[in-house]
Amino acid sequence: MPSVHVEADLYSGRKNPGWDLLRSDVTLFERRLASLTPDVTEKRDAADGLGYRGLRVTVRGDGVHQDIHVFLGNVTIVSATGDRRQASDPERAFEKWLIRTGKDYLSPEELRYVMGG
Amino acid sequence: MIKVTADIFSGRPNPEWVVSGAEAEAALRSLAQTPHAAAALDSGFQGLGNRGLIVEILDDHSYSDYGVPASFRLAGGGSPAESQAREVAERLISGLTSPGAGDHPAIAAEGMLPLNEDLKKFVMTGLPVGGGFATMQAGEPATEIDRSADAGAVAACKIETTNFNPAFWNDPAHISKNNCYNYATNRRTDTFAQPGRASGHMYAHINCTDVGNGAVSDGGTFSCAPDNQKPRWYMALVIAPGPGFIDYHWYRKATQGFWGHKPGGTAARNVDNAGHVVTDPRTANRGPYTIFCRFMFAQKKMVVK
Repeated sequence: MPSVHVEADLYSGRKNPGWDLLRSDVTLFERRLASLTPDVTEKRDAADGLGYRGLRVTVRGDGVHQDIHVFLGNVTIVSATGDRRQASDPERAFEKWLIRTGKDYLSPEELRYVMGG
Repeated sequence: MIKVTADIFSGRPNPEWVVSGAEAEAALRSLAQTPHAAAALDSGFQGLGNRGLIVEILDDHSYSDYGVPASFRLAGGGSPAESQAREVAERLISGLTSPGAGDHPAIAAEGMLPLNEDLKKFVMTGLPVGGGFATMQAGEPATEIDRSADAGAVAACKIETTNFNPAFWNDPAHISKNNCYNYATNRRTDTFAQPGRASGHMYAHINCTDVGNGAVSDGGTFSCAPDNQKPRWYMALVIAPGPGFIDYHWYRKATQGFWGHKPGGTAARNVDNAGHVVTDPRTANRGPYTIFCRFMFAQKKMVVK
């Protein structure tokens, strides 16, 4: 089973909050990621600048090497070879589920802030 | 009667006041004797900070009696008779607190700082020194910190700059390990540096005072740094006060005149959240970083970690 690390990309000066998914959540993560609808439209990464810039997910192990960016309905998955694919995340369901897995690592105020997008 | 504008700010309204009666007559008489003291409006120092006084003659007879231009810049570093210009400027600034100085239809009082002794001192001490082209002004007083602490930083300070070089910071091997503080201090330590950590005095709370003092503890300074402390980078500190989002952020001035910055582990850039080039961090779109704290300086002895 690969390890999955999630970082809420929020801050400029402070270190961003981050956490590792529990093993039980890794299984759910893989299932949810696989169920996302591929999106072939060309999108520019809108997560830039100051403020919340989405979730940066790092998946490593078991032959898997993915860097995933989840932000406001868009999911971008980049493999170790640089292959890039995109998926839609309607209603930010995947993003919000990931955020909730970090509720013990985010302050209540941070949790509200990132949930609000 | 003379309208005087202290050309200091970039975002907020500049202080304005009128000088009348004997004081106005005396100032105009001095200018008539030293006509070169009155410089063109677009002359002298035109960057961020104190750009001298803009003077407008409000009545016809003063204009014709003394032969001075209807409007001109004074003590902005652009006159060949700068010391005389400064003398007249100081006289006009003295009138800032005179009774009725702000009571005139030509004065747009909306949003202006109160005309008081603090402001007078601030304007007076911040006048550019002669030949201001080679110097940099250290900005306006902060809105969220002790104003008197910033008044000292208003004096003309020499700084150094580098060309904007995002490639140095956006190298994949380093981009995520360096933040805004690394960028602003121009020290790529790969430690996601924190103000005060290197000196053992890391900020306890995220506010202008604590974060600024952390940087000072690391060797930064609120006031001018001496020549033996080159290179002296010009930085700006802002704060996201929350609720929910509490953080600090720094910018650094580039040779090209704009400001660069690096939001956390993301790419260094010279644009704000609206995609506009950052010409003034005070007025840039800073997202949740709504509090502008102050300008300050990194210097040679500064160590960050």
